Amino acid sequence: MKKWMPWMVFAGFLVVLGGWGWQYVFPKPEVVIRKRMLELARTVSFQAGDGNLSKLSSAQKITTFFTMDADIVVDGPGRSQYRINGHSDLLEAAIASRRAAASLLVEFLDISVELGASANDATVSMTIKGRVSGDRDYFVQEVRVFIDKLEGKWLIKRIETVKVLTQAHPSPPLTATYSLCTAGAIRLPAGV
Amino acid sequence: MSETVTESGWRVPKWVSTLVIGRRPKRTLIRLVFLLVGSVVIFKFVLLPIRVEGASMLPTYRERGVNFVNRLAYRTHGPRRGDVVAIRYAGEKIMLMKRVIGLPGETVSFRDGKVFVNGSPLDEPYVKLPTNWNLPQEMVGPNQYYVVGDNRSMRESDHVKGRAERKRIVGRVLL
Repeated sequence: MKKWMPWMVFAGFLVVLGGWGWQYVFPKPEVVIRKRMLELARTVSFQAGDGNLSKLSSAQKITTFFTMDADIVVDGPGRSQYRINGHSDLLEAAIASRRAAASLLVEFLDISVELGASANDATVSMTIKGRVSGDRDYFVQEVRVFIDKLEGKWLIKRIETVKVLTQAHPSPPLTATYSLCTAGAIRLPAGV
Repeated sequence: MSETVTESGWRVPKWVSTLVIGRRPKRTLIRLVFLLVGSVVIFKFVLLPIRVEGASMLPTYRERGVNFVNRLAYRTHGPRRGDVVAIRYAGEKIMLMKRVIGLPGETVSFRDGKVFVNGSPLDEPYVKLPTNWNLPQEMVGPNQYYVVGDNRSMRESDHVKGRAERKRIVGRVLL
């Protein structure tokens, strides 16, 4: 082996380490947004054993992910469209969900971030998978999230549900509960 | 019986090392690399392994069953009536599994549980559970396919069905 070979390997290692360190200290906006979405999913979820104070504090924390005039439009299957507008509505909805169900586990899957031209706004597409305690099936909904960068923080200004299947004459909802009776196919890791 | 002595002094019988790494370790390594690369390519780009969840495809597909989605099924032609397809949401981690009953340009309606395509009744031997759905006629647009599950015994409003865009159809369910 040539004398300079170990030095080359060492230099290569330093370059890789430097690149990783740079990305860790100065992450790309896409990475920051993705992390923020995952943090939101964790905040929205709650466990059966959580105390009232913890539930209230997590409900309040949810509002910190949104702009003051944030707008959420929910148009899911089997229920009529409804909107949540602003922090007070959002807090109310978060508290109501914590009262209505013992636990809720939410996951955001297939998060894809598209940065706007000014790099101060972004659109996120993702699939929400959630399971309410006591429900046999989980619910699945694709959403589009519009995000603005305000004072250095990425805040959600609008969430819209996306219909995967469209119907010309959707049936009126019969119940107020969200029930999704569908055969879903969960992708297994490669190699199964 | 011949033995291999490792650096730490362990004696490994020859037949064990032959069984684990073969007679020619170099060839075994190459085979292993091919196997790994082949598996990744096949299960990522050709056959997506899936697990069935939910009741809407009963009794054709039972819950917890493992299946595969053939991504290449529609490279030369579009989905056909009767095909069971996987329809993606934002990505492919979760997909809908439905049967194609209406093709682009056709009309689909339900009368007393019977499906009518362009006004003619559709023979559906795979629907085995009783159903009484009624839905007015709906036009399937270009690049759209009308999809529905095989289990129509549930309340119609609880069953996810409708027109899927072609670009959302990932492939045909293999088995």
